Amino acid sequence: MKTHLWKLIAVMTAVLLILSACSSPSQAPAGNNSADNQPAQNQPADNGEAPPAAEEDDKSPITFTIYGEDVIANRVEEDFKGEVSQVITADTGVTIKYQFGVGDVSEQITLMIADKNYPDFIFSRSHVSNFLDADVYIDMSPLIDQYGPNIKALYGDAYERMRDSEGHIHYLGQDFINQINEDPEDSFEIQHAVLKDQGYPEIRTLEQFKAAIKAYKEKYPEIDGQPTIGMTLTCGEGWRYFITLINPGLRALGFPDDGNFYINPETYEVSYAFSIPEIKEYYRWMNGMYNDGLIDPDAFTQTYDEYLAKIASGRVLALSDGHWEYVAGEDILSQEGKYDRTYARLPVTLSTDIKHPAYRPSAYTPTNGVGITQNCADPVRAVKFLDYLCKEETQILSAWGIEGVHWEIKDGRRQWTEAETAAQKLPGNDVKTAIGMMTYPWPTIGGGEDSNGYKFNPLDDGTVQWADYNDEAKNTLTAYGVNSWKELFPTGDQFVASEWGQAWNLWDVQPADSEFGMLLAECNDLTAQYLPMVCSASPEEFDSLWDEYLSRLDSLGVSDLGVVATKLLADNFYVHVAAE
Amino acid sequence: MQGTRPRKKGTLLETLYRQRFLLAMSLPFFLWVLLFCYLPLAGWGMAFQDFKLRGDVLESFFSAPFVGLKHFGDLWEDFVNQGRFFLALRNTLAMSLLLLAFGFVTPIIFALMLNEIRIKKFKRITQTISYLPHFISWVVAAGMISVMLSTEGPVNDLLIALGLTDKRITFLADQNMFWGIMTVSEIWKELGWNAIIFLAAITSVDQGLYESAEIDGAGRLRKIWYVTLPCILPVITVILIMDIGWLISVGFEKQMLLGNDMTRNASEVLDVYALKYGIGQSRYSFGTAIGMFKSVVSVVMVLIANALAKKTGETSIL
Amino acid sequence: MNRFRRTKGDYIIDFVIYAVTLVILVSTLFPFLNVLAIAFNDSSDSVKGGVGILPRIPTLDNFKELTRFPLLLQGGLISLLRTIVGTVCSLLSTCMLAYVLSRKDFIFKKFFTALFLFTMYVDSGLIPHFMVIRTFGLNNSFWVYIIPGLISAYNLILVRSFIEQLPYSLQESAFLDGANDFTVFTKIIMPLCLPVTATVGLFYAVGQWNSWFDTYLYAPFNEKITTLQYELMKILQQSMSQQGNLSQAGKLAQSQSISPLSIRMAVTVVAILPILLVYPFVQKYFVSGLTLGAVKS
Repeated sequence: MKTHLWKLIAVMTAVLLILSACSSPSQAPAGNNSADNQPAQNQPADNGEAPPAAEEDDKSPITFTIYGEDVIANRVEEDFKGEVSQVITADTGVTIKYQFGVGDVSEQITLMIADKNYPDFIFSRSHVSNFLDADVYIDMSPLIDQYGPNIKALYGDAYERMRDSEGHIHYLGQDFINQINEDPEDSFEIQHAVLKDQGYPEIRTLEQFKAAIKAYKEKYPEIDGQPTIGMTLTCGEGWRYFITLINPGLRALGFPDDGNFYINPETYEVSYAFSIPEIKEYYRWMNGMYNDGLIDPDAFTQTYDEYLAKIASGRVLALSDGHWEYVAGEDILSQEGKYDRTYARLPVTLSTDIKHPAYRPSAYTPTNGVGITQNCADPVRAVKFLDYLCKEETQILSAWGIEGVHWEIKDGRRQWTEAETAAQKLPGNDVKTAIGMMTYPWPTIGGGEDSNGYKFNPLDDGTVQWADYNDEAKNTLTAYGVNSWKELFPTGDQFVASEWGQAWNLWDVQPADSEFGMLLAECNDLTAQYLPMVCSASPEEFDSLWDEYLSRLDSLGVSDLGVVATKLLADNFYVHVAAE
Repeated sequence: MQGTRPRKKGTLLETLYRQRFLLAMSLPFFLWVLLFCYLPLAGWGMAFQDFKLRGDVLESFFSAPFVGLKHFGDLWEDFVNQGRFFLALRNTLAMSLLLLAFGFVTPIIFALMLNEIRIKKFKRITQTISYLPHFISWVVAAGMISVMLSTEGPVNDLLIALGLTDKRITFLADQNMFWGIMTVSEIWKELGWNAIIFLAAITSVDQGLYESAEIDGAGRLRKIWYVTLPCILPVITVILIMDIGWLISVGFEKQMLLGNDMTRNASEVLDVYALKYGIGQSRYSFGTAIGMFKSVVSVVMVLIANALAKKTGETSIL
Repeated sequence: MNRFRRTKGDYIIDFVIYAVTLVILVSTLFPFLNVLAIAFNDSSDSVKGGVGILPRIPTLDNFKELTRFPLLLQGGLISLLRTIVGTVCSLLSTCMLAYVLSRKDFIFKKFFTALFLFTMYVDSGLIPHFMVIRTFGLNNSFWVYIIPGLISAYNLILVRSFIEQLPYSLQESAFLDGANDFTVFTKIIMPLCLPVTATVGLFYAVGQWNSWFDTYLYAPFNEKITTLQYELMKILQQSMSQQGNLSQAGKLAQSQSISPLSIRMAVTVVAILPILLVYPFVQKYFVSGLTLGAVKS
């Protein structure tokens, strides 16, 4: 029997040994050693001497990894083998390997920091402060001074705004440099059919907006056999209530998108937007809409899929949404030729003396972007790569593709070739060409013209816009005497520019684990909870419910929130303004 | 060839020697459980600190300031003031208890019913199909439930057709209905899956017992009551005791997906709260404090349930 | 079974059972058919909603979209591997330990049982757990799928209480014949445990197959050991973010695309199908009425 016992022990030991042997940390991920093939000779020279010429042309193959916190907007290339990407690799030897977060990335980022296992680049949005606290980014500014003339040229005045209070540059801004000349993303939308039916009335105020919806709904209680819906929202999934419930309220008052904050343009004093008395009026209007049966009863609970399905059915008369959010539903209407059910974009505000803020100019906002990590084995090569991306030719390459293949100069403009125009209608074309893939989150210029006077950005072209409008849109625009939606909106020069940039990402720069973060989260939670209740209450309850909301905001300490936010703004944005 | 026969009294060493096979079969797992389940508990120290992650974890841990019971004090204060932690705790327990009351017996009944089906094929197909919803993720399931319960959805259509209501009901906007909706959805989704273990238990019932019951003239219901149920009672008890330990952690995905801001007072559960205001805000210490609280409560509840089971003479775990 | 004489009561019971079962059948089958229908339906048509149990415009495009992701196949192999290795390792460990803990005379019975039982309820937090995994070099290794979750206390206790129900006399005679504990376990206990082993094995296997969170936490960027479920999560995330609230720059990519709804359903089908195919083979072990009595005789 003894032998049996020993056999058993031997087997158990062997199993344990095998398990531990297999689990030895031999399989380090790509992020760690991606630049191993590069000798360490490329360390930045401290003495500021110009690097030897040979290094300028280093095109040996190298793979850089990048972690993108919220997934790269367009589809990511798994293999970096698209037509544009191949050109980039040929020019620089660089292959980009994406790693990105799934789901709620807080946990993943926490462990990434705990493991000290960073890729070469990091693009973070709302966890910048976690990475800064752990000292993950290198200071790029000395390297850019030496190797980054194109970076400085591309960012221009905005370059200095990227420095933190100690003068370090941790990441390059991801937002478009230069705003572009396209139709407004955020507005109030109404079906062309409604406008046509009412004889294209003037719609500038919420009351006029409501009157048009109401009249049409009474006239046509059903569309295609289904009940007509005046207006609908999508608030059932996490953050989406920001887009259709909160932002329109701020827009209607003419506030720029500073998150849930209002910033006084003279004093740079910040306050929580919902403690401003006027904002109540938008939600009073919503309440009126709801009680007149003009708002979908499911508006505050439905999922995004249901929201899109309703828009696609053509029976939702009006929206207050960002174009990017409702376009998937609108596309179905276009495919079916129901152009009269697609939407006109109108500069509706609370009253005529308020200007819709769609084109309110703001200074460059560099709160997030691509930074180089301490783990990057060859930061010089990395900066040189960023510099390459900032070159004019590369900017055109990544936004338009290859000359003669994807675009050509015709009629004095840069435009897509016929082949490319046709191909863009096919699925998978974006992956094949990789056009646009490197525009996010890498440095990208938005509007303006290159040295030959041609547009940098395909979206920045009024001539193309007119051709892209459907017939009903053209009718509406003609009736209002304009050539694009943009012309309906107040132009940028009518506003005082927001010197602080766009503060909606103000919370991205707050220190992790701070009172401010807690307070902001609590106030936002309260807002998210009360606004739907306020909107769907009976008219008599409205005022008392609003007062209850305000008093609860007060008891949370909403005024402290304003004080801290003011300081945060000063520390992170105003300092740049002062430096200029 | 000395026997490994049990129930022999002797000194400790003798016992250990006698049970050397049993020890060899269990010690590796003892090591495993120490290393992977109990060693990390050293991290509970964070609950008494203001831990901030700055580069090296161990360095951060040993240099973090000690704050004593501050985080537990915060939780207690919130609890007393009936704040969000209080609500989250209340919602968690309410939904768990509802689920325990209804979600625990339904799979047992379903398993008993399946066992009574004589058409083998029908039985198999039913069983296979009934467990399908378990594999549909909550994201997909929540989307379907939302469509079903919308004002234009089939549930409202049915209620109107039956004349039970004249005004269409916004189910998902009403926080009074949330616990009910949650319980029904969970039962629907897990009914078949949770029945599997009871089915397995039923198959182990000695057929001889049925035969002797039949000789005594027992009908089908009586056989279920006097033979099947007593035979699977140990399994039921064991699962019940284990489930009681989980009363305080009801998961978070489904609440997050089906709940919305209007129903938050009823839908926010402890795990969501911990995620949002713990790690979501990089407040690791606060999150650890909640985790520790949950762990202690769970263990205490299991022990109580176990003691009760013992007292009533049924099977117990320990 | 009284298959010879049926009373009136029997018919009533049968009627109730069949009626209730039918309701359950329909209510659980419908959502699944709905998933199938949308997965095989034209993507832009699905956006309109209202797809029932049959596709309106049948197409395979949604699945073709998935084939664009080269890691999916490899992920499937890794998932298969972890399911097999993980289930076998976990099942053997669980049964062996369960037998030891079922022995009333075992000196550490209570201590060990409590120790394992509490693992179900104690929550050590993310960072400490990760540090242990890292210390053993398990992160970015295939074994992180197997070792940290080797024994589930829930399954352990299920198997243990099953073994405890077996008559002790079966073991006793073996001991009298001079068998040791290990032999008794392998030769006598294991064969008798088949129904519960099949069940617990199914639990382990499904857990392994469905798991993506461990990849997300411990090996998110090691493509050599990425799992099917994690890759599917990635695809889902990407399709969602196409409509996400991102900056202007995101809009520059030029293409038509499949809607997240259709991707989600196609992904669900890909994730479930393997389980559906395997299940009938496992099912027979605990539905066919394998009984103790039969084994005893």
